[in-house]
Amino acid sequence: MTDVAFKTAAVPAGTAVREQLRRLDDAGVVSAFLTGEERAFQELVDRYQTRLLNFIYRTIGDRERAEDLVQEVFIRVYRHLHRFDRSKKFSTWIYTIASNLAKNELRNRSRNPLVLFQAIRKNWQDDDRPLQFEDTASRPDDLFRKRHLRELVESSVGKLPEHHRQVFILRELEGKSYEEIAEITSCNLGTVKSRLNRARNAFASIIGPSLS
Amino acid sequence: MPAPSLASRPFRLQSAGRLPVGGTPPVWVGTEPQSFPHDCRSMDCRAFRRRHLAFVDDTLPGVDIGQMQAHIIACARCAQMDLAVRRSLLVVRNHLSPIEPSSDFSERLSARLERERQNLTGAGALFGSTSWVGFAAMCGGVITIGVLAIAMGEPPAAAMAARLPAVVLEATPASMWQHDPVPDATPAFVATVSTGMAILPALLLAEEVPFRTTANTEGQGASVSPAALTRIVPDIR
Repeated sequence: MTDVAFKTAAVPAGTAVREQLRRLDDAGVVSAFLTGEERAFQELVDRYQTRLLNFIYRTIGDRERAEDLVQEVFIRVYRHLHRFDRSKKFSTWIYTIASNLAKNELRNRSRNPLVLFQAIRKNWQDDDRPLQFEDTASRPDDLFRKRHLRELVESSVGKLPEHHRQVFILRELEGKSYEEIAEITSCNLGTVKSRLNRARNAFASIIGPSLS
Repeated sequence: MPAPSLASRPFRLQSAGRLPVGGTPPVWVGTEPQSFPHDCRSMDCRAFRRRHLAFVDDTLPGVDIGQMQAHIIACARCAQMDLAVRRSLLVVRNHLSPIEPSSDFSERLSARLERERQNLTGAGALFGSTSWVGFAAMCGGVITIGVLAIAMGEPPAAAMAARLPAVVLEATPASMWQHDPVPDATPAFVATVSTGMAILPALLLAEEVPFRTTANTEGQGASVSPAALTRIVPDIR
């Protein structure tokens, strides 16, 4: 439907096309791309790059590598979009690709100690970075508290076991439904619920003492 | 008249989940007690924890929500667990701010996509179903490579002849043949029989047929068996 709407409309140039693409849902943008509108792919990138980056970053804990993996996700999408089953949700498909890449990354990391060094180096870079004042209107103790809480949450999420962490991030940070998570992680619905329940309890027990 | 809150309204707990066996379901009328023993009323703690996921996500039916709330009021341990989970989720949602892609992310992605586009168009031009020219070019290439491989694998006959050592045939004296005939069972034959495979002895015998027939037909009277009784001697001159 959206495909037809896109095709039948007069083809305006530049920003007008982007505006039109922006108004379409994912299925419409995918259809537009498959009918030859290359700019539709940029629209998909715009919609998903931040979400995927956050998802992968929370899963693997390395920002630079997460960016590389997000790029890899888009390359794979570009390469295989013609094979995408358009009766399914595009977001589920792209998250599945991202999830598989993140899982592979964690698997490779456990085999390759060099990656551990990269994680350490990342922390050094954090230490070396000059202090940045985020908001001059805020009080310093507020800033400190916020930063402390953010680091606490990040480290607590990082302490969850891998399969629990992924489900937890998809649900609590990405807001996916149980069914979508089941599809993304290739698990059945019962497993997803069980993992999420355990992940929530584990997370609460990890972060609880620090909060109180 | 507004509905009384759960904490103050007349309270009746129904049987649900796992109740202690052998008793009527407990019923309270009036405001509910402030504390209950641990294995309490509306459902047991295991049932509470099993449904807790849906309870936090607000996807339970109304009746079940009432039972869960009743259990929280009754069971301090489950109430504490529920509070801890809700607090931690609140912290996650409020304090885990999203990160943004770095400034050169789009540039790098565009460059990679451009390379991918070129690869795809290149491959499409070569392997596309309608591109007969590409297909013919690919076949031509394969054939050329094959011909070259064969040509390089077989050097000219003259070069071969120059490189191989010459051989001369030297006849064995008849006396030697008479004392050393071709045995019926050669060591190789015996070895193959012991393997239990019938095919190998048969093959060996088949191989030796020319020697034996020569020995039998010509060799009975003759002094030399050309095949069996020759030695290859490299020409060192």
